[in-house]
Amino acid sequence: MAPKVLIVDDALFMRMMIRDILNKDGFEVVGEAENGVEAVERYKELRPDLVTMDIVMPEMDGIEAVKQIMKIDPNAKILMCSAMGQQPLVVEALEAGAKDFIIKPFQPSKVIEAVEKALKG
Amino acid sequence: MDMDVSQYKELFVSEATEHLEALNQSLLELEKDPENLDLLTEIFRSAHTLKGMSATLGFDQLTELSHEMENVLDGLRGGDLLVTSEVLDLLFGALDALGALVKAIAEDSAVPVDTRPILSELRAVVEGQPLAPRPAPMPEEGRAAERKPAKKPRRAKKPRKEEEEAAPQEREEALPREEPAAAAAEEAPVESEAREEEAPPEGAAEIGEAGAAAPSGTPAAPLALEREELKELAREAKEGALPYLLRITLDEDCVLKSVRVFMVFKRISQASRIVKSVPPVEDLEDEKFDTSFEVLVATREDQQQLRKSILAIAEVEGVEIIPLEVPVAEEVAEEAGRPAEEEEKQQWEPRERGEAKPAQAAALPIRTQSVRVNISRLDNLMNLVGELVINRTRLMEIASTYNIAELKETLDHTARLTADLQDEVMKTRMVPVEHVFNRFPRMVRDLAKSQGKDVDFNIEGKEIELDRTILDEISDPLMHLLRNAVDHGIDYPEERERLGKPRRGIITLLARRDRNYVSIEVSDDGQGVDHERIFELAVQRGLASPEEKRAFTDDEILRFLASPGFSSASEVSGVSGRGVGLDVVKSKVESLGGMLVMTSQKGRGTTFAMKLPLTLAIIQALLVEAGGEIYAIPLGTVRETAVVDEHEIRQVQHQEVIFLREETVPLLRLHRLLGIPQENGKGSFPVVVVEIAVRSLAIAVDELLGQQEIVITSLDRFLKGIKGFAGATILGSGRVALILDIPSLL
Repeated sequence: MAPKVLIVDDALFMRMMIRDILNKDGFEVVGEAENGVEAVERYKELRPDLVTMDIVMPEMDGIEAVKQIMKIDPNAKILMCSAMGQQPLVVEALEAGAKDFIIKPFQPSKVIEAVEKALKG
Repeated sequence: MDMDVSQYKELFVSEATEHLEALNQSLLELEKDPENLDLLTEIFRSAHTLKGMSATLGFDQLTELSHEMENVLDGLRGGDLLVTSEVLDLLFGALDALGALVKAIAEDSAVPVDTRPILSELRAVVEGQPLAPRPAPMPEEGRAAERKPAKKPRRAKKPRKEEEEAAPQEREEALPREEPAAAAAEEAPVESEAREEEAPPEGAAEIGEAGAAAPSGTPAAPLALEREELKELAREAKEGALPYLLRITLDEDCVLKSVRVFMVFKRISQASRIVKSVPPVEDLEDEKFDTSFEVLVATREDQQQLRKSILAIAEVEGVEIIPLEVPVAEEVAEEAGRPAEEEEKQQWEPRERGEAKPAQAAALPIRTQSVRVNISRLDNLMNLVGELVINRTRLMEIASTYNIAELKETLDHTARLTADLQDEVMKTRMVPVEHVFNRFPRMVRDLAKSQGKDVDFNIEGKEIELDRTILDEISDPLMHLLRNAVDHGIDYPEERERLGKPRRGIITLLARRDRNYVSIEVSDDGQGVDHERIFELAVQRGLASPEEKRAFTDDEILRFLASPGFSSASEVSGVSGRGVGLDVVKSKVESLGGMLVMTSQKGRGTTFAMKLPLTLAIIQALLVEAGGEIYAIPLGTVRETAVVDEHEIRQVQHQEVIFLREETVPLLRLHRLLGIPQENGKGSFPVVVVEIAVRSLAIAVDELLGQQEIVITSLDRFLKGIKGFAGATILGSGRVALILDIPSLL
């Protein structure tokens, strides 16, 4: 069965892009969320195998969302998506329990690599 | 960038435009409320998202500009910069440049946008920070600044940053620390660090593996170990943890190498002990290495397991594991080592999740999900619904012709369904007017500022919804009206003061629902329209003769103003002419099936109102017959119907009128308008009284046929020039009926 992925990003455009990249490689995108609050809600509801998580978002940022999701499911696999210039935030997210990160601009191959590794690891 | 850009361009442009609008909006609010940190955070977020999106599609100029803008915003947020009018102007300028870039992308324009001036200005603000009376950044940030110039670590981030850097350092320092005092006394630990670089100190041993040549980019020195490190390895070996040298190679285009190193270290230390790294941790952190680095570990873990766990990190290309010989055990005081190790380990583990603030989450609202649809899809959908309505009407007619009860029943049900369907499609097409309104505060601000006028701009009724197509069309006319209000409506502050008005003028943009119309109004509290002056100009232009001079109504004045070429900005400047582009506005509004109304009071102000239909596609209409043809009158404009006798008709100023409850209503005979002969001798005939705004008109027809839903089909371009018709519709019987364009008749 194709691994189920939840995409979290406040830009529709980014979500679409990630979705396309993942779909092409046979992942099933089961849901999208545009802020941290929604991400946590959708996680509870969908229990995806993997979450791609933007960091800077309205309502609740990605780091807080990671913390909350990890609380719900300590085995959650979360992949941070960050723009450049966010090193400290990335580290914080990793410390909060995120499995890995990718840096925008995305290269499809890197996204897939990171997703596959995160799912295995 | 190995991605197909074109595929995402449209979406990118539409979302980027939204972000720009949001930015514009928030900046304007910030101007009023410079202390508002939430607002700044929001602005920062928009700029940041824009940067991420642009970078993803490889729009470098956009990325660079939004990045610099973000830096300025960061400074504002951290309090290193102050929100001053200069900074705001700069940010607005940056926004315009971003807008131009997005537009160029949207239009595939090859014309380059020069962003260098604005970039250097933004950088100057960040670097120079001449506006903030704050002390210079603390020296300890020097290193971070070196890594990413122009980017000052923000305050909120600083503690985190320190942790990040501190953690690995702790590790290095921890090694000597855990050495018992007795053993350490043999050595001079201070010196040993310095010597390590050149040659192994006396007390050090070389552990090596023949084939393990150092990879390019890393120091070629053989792995030199301090005595303490050897001791540590020996101690670990006793515990069953074997020494390995890990050579870890990262992807060539890995972006945040230091964070990758952090992840690798974190992963290793979960089950192993890190004794040393080459290059040292500080250099790894500063990314002073090529693509690979070496880590000396002591572990009980299986080699394969270790390799797998490190490879599970993204952008780790390879892990080479080289088993090392267990060093000769020296005398080691183990007891002292244990507690220190445990203490240290805690620092490496992810900090507990206790910090999470779940309470915050529950209170936040969850937004509804939405889908973005191309407007042409909705147009198609609307057309299809239209066809369905026509067919339904047709079936109804058949059902009544053949009197089939069952069919009628089913059709009643179908009628309800199509009505609902139509309603839903219509709602889908409706968007709040704020989509367009939000563009204007900035424009009004800039315009007023450039003219040295003081203007308060208010928006009311943002939430009123209008068909997307109509809304898009009125953007330009609205811009004309607002421009006029600033240019010609509002006086200079001194002049206003002289007239006893507050220095600050008020321009209001308002939307409200008015039965089947939406009224969008632009008012100012300026000088109003000078009727006499307009009449003079009208005479000069040959639009009126001097003898006609009398008291004109606002409508008549508007008609002068809106006649093509009545005035242009240069000719009217200095006088109270207001004709700039009004003809364009008027014809645009009318082409949308609406009308433009002006009310003005000399010295008090002027209001222009656009009365617009809610939607363009399907309307309720009253069908009438005249001269054997069927015509449709939009029901939204119909006030009432009546039957009028020939002898009730009076003549006022060469115009036929009728009296309806003491009101004089001009009469228009549809036959005359259309040039068809009227059947005489009937004596009485029905009239339809239509009304828009405050104007009424009675239309004389032969027969009233009834109310029906009609689908508007616009007339093609050969027929479009004909005044009086808004379009045509196909009736249930298959006949074509023309739709009367009421505003043009009034």
